[in-house]
Amino acid sequence: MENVLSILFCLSLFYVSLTLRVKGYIAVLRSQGIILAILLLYPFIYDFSVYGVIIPLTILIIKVFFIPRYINKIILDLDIKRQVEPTIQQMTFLPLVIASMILIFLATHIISLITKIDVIPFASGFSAIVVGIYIMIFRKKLIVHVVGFLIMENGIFLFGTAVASELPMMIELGVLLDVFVVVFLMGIALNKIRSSFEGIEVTQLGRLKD
Amino acid sequence: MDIEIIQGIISLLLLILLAPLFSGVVNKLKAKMTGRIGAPVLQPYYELKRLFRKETINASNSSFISRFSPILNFVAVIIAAAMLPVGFWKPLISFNGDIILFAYILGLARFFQILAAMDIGSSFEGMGAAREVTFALFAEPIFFFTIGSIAFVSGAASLYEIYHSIHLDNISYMVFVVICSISIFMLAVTECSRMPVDDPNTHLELTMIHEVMILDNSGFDLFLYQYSGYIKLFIYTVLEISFFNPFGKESYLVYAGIFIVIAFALAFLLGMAETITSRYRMKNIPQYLLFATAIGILNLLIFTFTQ
Amino acid sequence: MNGFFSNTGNILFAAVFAIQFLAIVFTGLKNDRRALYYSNFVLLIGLVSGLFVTLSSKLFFALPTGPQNSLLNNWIRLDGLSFYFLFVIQLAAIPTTLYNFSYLRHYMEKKIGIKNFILFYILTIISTQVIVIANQAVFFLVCWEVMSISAYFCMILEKEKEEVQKGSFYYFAASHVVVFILYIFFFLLHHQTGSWFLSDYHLSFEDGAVISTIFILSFIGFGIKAGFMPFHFWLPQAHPVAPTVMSAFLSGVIIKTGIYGIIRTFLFIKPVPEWSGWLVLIVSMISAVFGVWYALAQHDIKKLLAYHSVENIGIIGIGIGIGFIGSANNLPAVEFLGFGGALLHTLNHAIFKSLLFIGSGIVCQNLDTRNIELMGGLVHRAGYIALFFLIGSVAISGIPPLNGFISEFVIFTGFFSIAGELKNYYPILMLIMVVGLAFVGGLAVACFTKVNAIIFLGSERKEVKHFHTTIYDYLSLGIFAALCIAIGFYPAPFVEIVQRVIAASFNIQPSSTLINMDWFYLSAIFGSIVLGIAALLLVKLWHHKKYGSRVSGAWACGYENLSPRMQYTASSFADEINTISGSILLYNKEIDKSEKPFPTPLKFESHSRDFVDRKLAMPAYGFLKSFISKIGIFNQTDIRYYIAFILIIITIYSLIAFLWT
Repeated sequence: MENVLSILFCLSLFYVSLTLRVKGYIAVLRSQGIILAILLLYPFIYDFSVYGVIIPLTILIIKVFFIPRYINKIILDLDIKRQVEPTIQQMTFLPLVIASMILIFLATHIISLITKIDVIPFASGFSAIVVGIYIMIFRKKLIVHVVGFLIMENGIFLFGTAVASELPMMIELGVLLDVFVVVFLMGIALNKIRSSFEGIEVTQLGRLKD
Repeated sequence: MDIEIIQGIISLLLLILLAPLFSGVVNKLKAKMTGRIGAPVLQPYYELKRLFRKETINASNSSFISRFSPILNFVAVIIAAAMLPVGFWKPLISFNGDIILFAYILGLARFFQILAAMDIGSSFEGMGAAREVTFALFAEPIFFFTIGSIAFVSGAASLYEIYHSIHLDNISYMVFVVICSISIFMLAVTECSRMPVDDPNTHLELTMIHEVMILDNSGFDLFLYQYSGYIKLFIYTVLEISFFNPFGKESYLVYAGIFIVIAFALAFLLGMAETITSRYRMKNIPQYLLFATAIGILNLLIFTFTQ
Repeated sequence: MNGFFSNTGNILFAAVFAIQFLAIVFTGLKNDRRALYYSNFVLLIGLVSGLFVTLSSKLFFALPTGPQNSLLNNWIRLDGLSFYFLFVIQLAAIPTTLYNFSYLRHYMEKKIGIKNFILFYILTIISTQVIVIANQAVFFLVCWEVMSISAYFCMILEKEKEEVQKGSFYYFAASHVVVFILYIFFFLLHHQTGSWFLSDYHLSFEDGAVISTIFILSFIGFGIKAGFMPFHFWLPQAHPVAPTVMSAFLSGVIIKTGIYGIIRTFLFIKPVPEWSGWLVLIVSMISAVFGVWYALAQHDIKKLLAYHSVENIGIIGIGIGIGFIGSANNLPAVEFLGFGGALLHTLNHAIFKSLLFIGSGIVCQNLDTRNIELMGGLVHRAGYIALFFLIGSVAISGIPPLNGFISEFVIFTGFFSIAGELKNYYPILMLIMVVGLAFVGGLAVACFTKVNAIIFLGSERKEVKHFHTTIYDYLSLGIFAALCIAIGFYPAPFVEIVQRVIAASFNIQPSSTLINMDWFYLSAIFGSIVLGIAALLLVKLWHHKKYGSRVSGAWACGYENLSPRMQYTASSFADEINTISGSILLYNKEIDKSEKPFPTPLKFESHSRDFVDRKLAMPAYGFLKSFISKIGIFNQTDIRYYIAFILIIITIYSLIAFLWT
């Protein structure tokens, strides 16, 4: 089951590196939230406890409903164009992602011979981190950078489940809160930038220095 | 004669004779879904009959290549069909490494079709040929990745053995095979010029891919092109259907039932895709194909490391 | 010398080379035409009889006329590998020499002296043959140098043209780097084994560092000659400017000496470490993919074919890489498949690349341009040349009934067999390689449909007054095309030869994987394709009789004034694929987008530059140049300073060598 979910997770990574629409990015965030929630919920089907259901539910609420809606709202408010404006061609971006993913899987396989980790979730999480960083490097729009950051965070989440099967709940919640605050602050910042600059592109942030 | 050879010949004949019927079914289902009555299911046969009786007209600037290419195309597609296992019968041509021959013989057909298109010297055909060659370039890796990954997992190198090695014992293997079949479906859509990649019913030369390449063919030549197009679609359908072989292990009757059901389901899917999606922009098609390859890679990576 | 003349084979073998040397004498004739005819004719006799002697050796037919294994105090040694490459060289050289008759007449009409060219052409052919049989390191190096320099002299036939000077200088510089590396390579080997004979070089697995150094040196040195990807930059510069005969020979044969060197090195150091196999495999894969991708962006037909040489050398290298991995893991079956694929592809590439170069040469000479955008519609002028070129194109794309497919099929089977033998993560990596090779095939299809379509099909873009061909053109192209068809349809004997080469000279456990592949089955399938086509042709004829056939204008949406310039061009045909990887190919388009109220002529340009040439080789050269110009002594114009400098250098080197030993 974890493997199937990890495959779906990686597929969403491919999709995000393929699509050119900001809407697609948000849809990917949503689906990744659902996948993570199911992944965390899955062990509790056989062994139910209220305590264990809290994290998946919070994830579901924050990642699937709250953050995407908020980003959508920012897009509507600020009238951001629907294209992500890549700096390199999509046909170069996707092979880059594929190549890094192959490398990551092979490296993980080698690591797993030494220490005991689940190869697939570990590698998927790792790939998500890399893809998130790539998105931040190769995209111009600031709002897309936020999405990239969130994908990276999802990757860390998956990564965490692979390293230790159960992280302490408070830490998980803390991470979630952290992310939420970051997104919130970004939204406010974007609104403010909007009022003083024309477009919202990373290239223009360089003008902020003086 | 050997029983295996007879079986092979029968399955080849089935493939050749039933191919237009499948196209008819796809078109009929598509018409139904868009609320039309649609042409009869046997319409492709009538079309072929009509084309066969027409006079052949060649473009004034064309050379021996455009006269030779339809024939070669047809023969190559039939040879490819002869390598295809239908059910548990051994195909007529089966040897170690025949998946390479299978892919490359379709490449032979494509090579000459592109040349024949460029032979006319018209920009329309040139455009179609350039698109065909670009998309074929990105479609070939999909085939090798999906079929090749099953081959490498099972250690077999012929289509018959590869499809024979599919089993239902292991759940992660089943997931693996299902995802492979998705890739093959995406490949079939491309190779047979179906909807998200190419619109078979478009009426503007500038938006065509496959149709524009045979714009200046008529009569016997067009008959051969159309017929090989039908067979090609059916070949990819059978490639897809064969993934469900293990369900029909008990008897021929069960297998025939499964064959028909899956064929209908695929026709439905193709019709559905043509109803609900629009054609992609030409620029985005390589990305779509690369996505299918990426699925194949991911699938193999995950399958290998769960062992 | 003992017993040299006791064997008929030896005498014949010596006679072959004597005849070839005799050809040089005839270049001294005063009349250009006579010099050409006599010397070429004698050379042809030498080559044909050479092929006969080679074929009668133990490797092929084992007739008593075959020479002994070791001649002239072991300076010449004839093992399976040598015979195989000798066979390839002579086979490819015969039709190329035939084409010489027709090609050089063009220069004679223009009153360009061709005697020097013929002299150096003969020298190149002889020295190339001697390289593969030389067994003494210094002798080998001397022959290597003779081959490089005489090929250079051939190249500068039209020396007054600036592009010729530049392109041939690339070749000259690259060959000298090769020689320099080979000096170190052989001195190191001599230092390790204490012998100058190639047959004595066997390094054991223990001295790992030495093996690594020797392997790297050989891979770089011979790799530059062969044209693997980072070292390929001289190929696309040198081929276009060389006379066609020379570029055919250069691409078909001379770069194969690099392959010979790498395989020979393998025999010194086997079993090789596994990383070397991976290195060769990955470099070759890069060469194959990007070679053909660069080729697609070219408009200069000879440059395009030069990049295809890079691709095909890559495919040969992939085979060698498979063989190395097999050797490292002690899998004889894999070794047979890998080296078998490499050797077969060496033969095949020599055949179809010479065919394509000669075909392109005929076209270029008649149209007086190398730019394919100006060609078109030649199928109506020279149908047979179009047919032969088509055969070569199908073969080089690796498409079934012809010979390119056979060798690629062996290499594919090699991948499958590695994946089957070594589990773990090998299947994934091998599958990626399989997909890469399939991708190369797809790109080659794109490239050669483009070349064929633009040059031969459609209507003429540039008026051709008279398309001149001679019997020699048809003869040489016909021989090559017949070989393509023969190897494609009936590969079994050729595979058996390769099997014997590997079994005889590679010293590995016998394995029958190569010979046990379903070759007759494949022949039967190809035969049935031909039968099917023939049957359908009859049906077509009958159909035309019954329902009629006629010719009419092409569909153009009702527009009537179609001109040949409205055809799809080569750059637009390749544009979609090129833009995908524009950043690597340095492919850029310049479109004049200025909009004016009235229609004015617009301009469009597209360029592709070589990444290695622009970003690595030229900057390195520039750096070296500026560095040297800073040193005062090099700025002297007086030749005596240079002589003094050389003397000092020699003294220092001798002192070092003296003190070291």
